[in-house]
Amino acid sequence: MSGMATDKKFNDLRRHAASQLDGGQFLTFSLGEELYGVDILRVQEIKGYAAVTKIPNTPPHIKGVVNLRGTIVPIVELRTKFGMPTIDYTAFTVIIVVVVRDKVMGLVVDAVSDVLDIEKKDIQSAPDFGNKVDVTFLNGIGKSGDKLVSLLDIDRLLLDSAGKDSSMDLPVAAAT
Amino acid sequence: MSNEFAQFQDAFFEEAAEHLAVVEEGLLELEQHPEDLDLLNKVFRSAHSIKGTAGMFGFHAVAEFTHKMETLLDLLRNGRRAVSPSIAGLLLRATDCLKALIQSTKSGAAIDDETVQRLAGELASSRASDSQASAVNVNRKSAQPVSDENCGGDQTFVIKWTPPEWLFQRGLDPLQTFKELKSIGVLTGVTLDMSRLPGLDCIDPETCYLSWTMQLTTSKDQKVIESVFEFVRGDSALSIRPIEGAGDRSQNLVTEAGFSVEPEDPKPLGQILMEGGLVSPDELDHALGQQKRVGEILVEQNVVTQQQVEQALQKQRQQESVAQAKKTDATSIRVDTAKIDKLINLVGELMITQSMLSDLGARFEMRHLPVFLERMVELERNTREIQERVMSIRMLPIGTVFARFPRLVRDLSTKTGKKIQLILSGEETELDKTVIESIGDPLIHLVRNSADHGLETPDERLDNNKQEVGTIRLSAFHEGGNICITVEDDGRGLDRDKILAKANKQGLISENDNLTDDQIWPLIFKPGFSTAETITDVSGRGVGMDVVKRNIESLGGTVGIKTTKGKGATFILKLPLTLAIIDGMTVRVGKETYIVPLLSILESIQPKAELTKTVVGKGELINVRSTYIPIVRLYEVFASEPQYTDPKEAILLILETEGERVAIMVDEILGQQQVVIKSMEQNFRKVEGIAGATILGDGRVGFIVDVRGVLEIARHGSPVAA
Repeated sequence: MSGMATDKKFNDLRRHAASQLDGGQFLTFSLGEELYGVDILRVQEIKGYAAVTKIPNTPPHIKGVVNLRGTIVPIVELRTKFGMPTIDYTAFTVIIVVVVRDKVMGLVVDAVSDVLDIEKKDIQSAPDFGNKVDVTFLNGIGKSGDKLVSLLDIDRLLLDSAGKDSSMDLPVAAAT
Repeated sequence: MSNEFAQFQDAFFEEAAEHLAVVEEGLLELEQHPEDLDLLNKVFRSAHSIKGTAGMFGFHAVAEFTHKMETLLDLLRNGRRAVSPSIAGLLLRATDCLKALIQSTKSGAAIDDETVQRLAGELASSRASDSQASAVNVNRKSAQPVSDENCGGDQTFVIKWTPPEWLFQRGLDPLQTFKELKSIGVLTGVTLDMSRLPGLDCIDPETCYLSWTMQLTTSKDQKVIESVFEFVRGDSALSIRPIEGAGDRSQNLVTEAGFSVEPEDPKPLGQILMEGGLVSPDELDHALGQQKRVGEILVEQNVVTQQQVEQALQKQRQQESVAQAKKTDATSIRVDTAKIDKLINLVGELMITQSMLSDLGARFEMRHLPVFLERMVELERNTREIQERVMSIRMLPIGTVFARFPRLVRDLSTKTGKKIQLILSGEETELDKTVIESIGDPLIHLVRNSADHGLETPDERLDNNKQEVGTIRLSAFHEGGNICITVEDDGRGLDRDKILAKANKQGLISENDNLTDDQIWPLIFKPGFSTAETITDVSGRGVGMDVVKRNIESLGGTVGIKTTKGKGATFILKLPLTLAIIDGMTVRVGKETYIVPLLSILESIQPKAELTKTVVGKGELINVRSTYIPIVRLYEVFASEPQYTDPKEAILLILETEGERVAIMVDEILGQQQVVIKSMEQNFRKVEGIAGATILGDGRVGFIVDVRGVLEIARHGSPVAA
């Protein structure tokens, strides 16, 4: 892919992200103590964790693939992707199936929490931690009561995983 | 330009492509059977359709050029010129030019004006030279020869015209028609026939009861006169007959004008009268019983003889039977690939549901009942959906691929100076559209190869007591769940010594190798291997048999060779029926299940310890009947946990890929089954060493092993490890 095409893709994504920042409904889920949100319109379904088939020679955060009614869907473990310590799966562990462009992918999260309405005024852009923390996959931070919800930019988070020069091949934490 | 219009344009281009194919095919066949008028008419009609629609869309360059082709075709059709190889050649070149013209119209690219002009000129001059030359006496199957005096100068026609009853209702004025006739010649002796005019009490002022007979002296063609009646032709009884030579021109009878135009199903007079309550059914039947047939009337009027009428009737019947045959003929379908993919997915889902059910059945307990019922609902939904879609989609016959070969062989014959006859068989064999699309190029290469390397020159053939004309036979047929396509020629056959010498020179084999024929022939699939002494225009330009083999293998097929020196060679392509389902061997490595394509498996063995050897401490080899084959441990390639690490406990699958043999080590063979291939790229990306995924009986995902990819990883290390 040429540099220009990458720029264009990036800009498209940014534009899309900007519209998300206008607020709306978010499906929130937890990873440890932290709360994350994805645009509810991008969520196709939520399913219980089922055994995955590991794909040979892929990075650790790609858990493998599952059969979703005849479609092969790759599963990403968000904890590993974010460089957080892994935990044993429990009865609450779920796969959130999201649609990224025309691709369908699953995210393994600790538990789903709630669907929240977050208005535009309650969303602030992602803080800059410099090199210490990579927040490029965050659209912003939302407030809901006393909860802080990190709003995920799943396009950026997952789209590259399908691309050839995949950032998904390396965990985010290691990328910096 | 609005989208809608663009959509119609696309339809035009598709339609034009179809018509072009008809024209090309027809011309090629016409070359063989120059007297087949039906064929010529078919070509003419297609050309005419292109012209018509092109004009409608404002593609004037296309319309103009097609018109020139059509003019020449018309001369052939009227029997004023014979179909000669040179004319057929010219028309074929014109077809190519038209193709290019349409292509550039489509893409908006610049038109190759020079070629267009040159060919247009040739077409025109071919026509001009003809009008001076005396007419060629062609004996057509159904057309009569045309006498000389009809070809040039003024000619007088007797025109009898009975317009349709609805003439006035549609606001058409017969006067206009006469004016138009006047404009193309001298109109004399116009007589009005009012015999059909009823009494004033039952006259319907909107119905036309009149008919005319007139004479027209003109330098124009009969076609031009007919075109004057274009709007009413379908429903008119129209006869245009040149006065001279009237006796032997039976094809100009009430004829083409009256019968050959597709009518829009107008109601017969009797029915209209009956609907109007003017006559009773009985009266009508009685009247019809008295009615004379057109032929009888004409015979009575001494316009034609009984024999000529019978000939014309016979021709009519012939045309009817052709039309009938056409209706039953399998017409081509143009199906959106997305639709096909959807259907294939559905079938895949059905198979999955089925295997889930059998799996469930094998270990059924009452507590599984809810799951069972759920699966049944799924099965029902699947079946219904498939049934719906299957009605609308079919596999495609390979004839669509074969269709391009007559032209190719004709051109090859011209280029190489060899006489070649092409025989096609099994065109109706249906196979997957994807295979259809990818099989064309390899086949072209093989046919070229046969024409260039395989077949001898006519002299050489005669010297060898063979027929002067070489034969290339292209056939397709089913064989054991596969499709076989063979390219066979009766030429020289492969030259064992030449191949050996060349292979030796390239270092592929050594002098001492004692190879069997079956080991020698595949050598020609090695890259850069060509036994042709000289590079010709046709082949030997670097694209070799290796590409053919690779393409076929990428479709999951194999290429075989059978040859006898001096007798010819046959290339046998064996292809899977579809790319969506493959026969696979399910194997287990640790807890993982993989599927190895059955086509690449030669055999499986449990090796004895003394048969495995190592090279440089690590490179493992297995001795299979005194050939050493490298061992690849699948668990190493896929970085998984195996049950066995010792080859003598494990199973070795001997696989062949691109002529190379390799032994893949797995824990266990589970069995053989058909699997539905699921794409990994759809939601993820290409994974090295994996050709795709499938869903196993228990609903879990299993991977289909890409043998080539596994070999690459084993040699160069996995992408991640590297």
